[in-house]
Amino acid sequence: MPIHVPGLRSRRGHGRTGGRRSAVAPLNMTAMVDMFTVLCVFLLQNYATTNQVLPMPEKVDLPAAREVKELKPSNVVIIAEDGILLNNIKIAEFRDVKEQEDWLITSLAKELEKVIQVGEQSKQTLGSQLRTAVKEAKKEAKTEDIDEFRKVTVQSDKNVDFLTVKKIMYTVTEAGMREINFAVLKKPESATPL
Amino acid sequence: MAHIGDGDDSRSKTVDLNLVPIIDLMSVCIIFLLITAVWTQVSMIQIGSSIYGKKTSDEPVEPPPRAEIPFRLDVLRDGYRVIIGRQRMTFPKVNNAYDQERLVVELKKIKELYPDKADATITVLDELPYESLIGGMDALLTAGFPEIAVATAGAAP
Repeated sequence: MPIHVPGLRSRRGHGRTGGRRSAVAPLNMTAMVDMFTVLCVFLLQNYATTNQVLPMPEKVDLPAAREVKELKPSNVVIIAEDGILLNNIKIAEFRDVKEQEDWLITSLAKELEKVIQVGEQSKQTLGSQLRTAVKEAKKEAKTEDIDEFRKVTVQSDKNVDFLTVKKIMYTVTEAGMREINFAVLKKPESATPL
Repeated sequence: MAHIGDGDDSRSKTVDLNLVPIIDLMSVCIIFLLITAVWTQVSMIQIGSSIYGKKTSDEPVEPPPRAEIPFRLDVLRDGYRVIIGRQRMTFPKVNNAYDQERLVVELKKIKELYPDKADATITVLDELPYESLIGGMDALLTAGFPEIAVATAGAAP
């Protein structure tokens, strides 16, 4: 498209090509469509495909690791300076847990037992029994034999002392949970080790 | 609007391709993906499946292969210590950081010696940060020992 110098123009029509001025201004959309396509592909590639998304509290700085697995649906225990949270509900104060000598955190154990109880009850429902039957028919039961409600993902700040984490792990195991996982950030392949 | 011409001036045939719906669709798609995108990819590290807590059934737990060989990784204040059988190896800190690279190399050598062995025990001192546990577990997993047990008592320094 031609570009004219802004300002007043001659009344006699200097600069006109003659006749009526064309009002059609074709816009080149190719570049924009290209950009949109690239952006769309990039976002689709990075789209979270797992059905488990962990809440990320601001004050929790997760450690990083290279050899990691994808998250599985489970209960989440958050250990942060603000407190100990189970499935985003505050259960205990961090300081109290840190200072207590007994490894068993009673409030957390009670809540976990409730979660297991609810899970066991829902397992008895017709829908759940059907799902289990389908899994067994597909022979998937052997590989995934632990119920979701019996799994716990520990999401702890990397600077929390190990004794506090150990107390949580002990409580979780005592409450009847059967699988403990640690939430980590995935370290890029090229990153140098700690 | 994009158009396709056949290049022949005498019988010029212009085909207009309406790009507006495509652009609309893409805009909506991009906005949706941007809103729902998860930028921090959280993954997990799993503790070995054979040492889970209370079993609900009475099924006996099968020990992992070559479990008779004691294999332990101690995370100490001043570095790592590996105990395999009667052999002890220490990996002191380098520039005040754990020498994870050297540890992985040595663990891989152990894996070559005992290719069937999959279990390992990790001990961490109580006062050390949780990050050191993850670092040790990551090294063990990288070397090929997926059945990791976390010991409740820290190792003697």
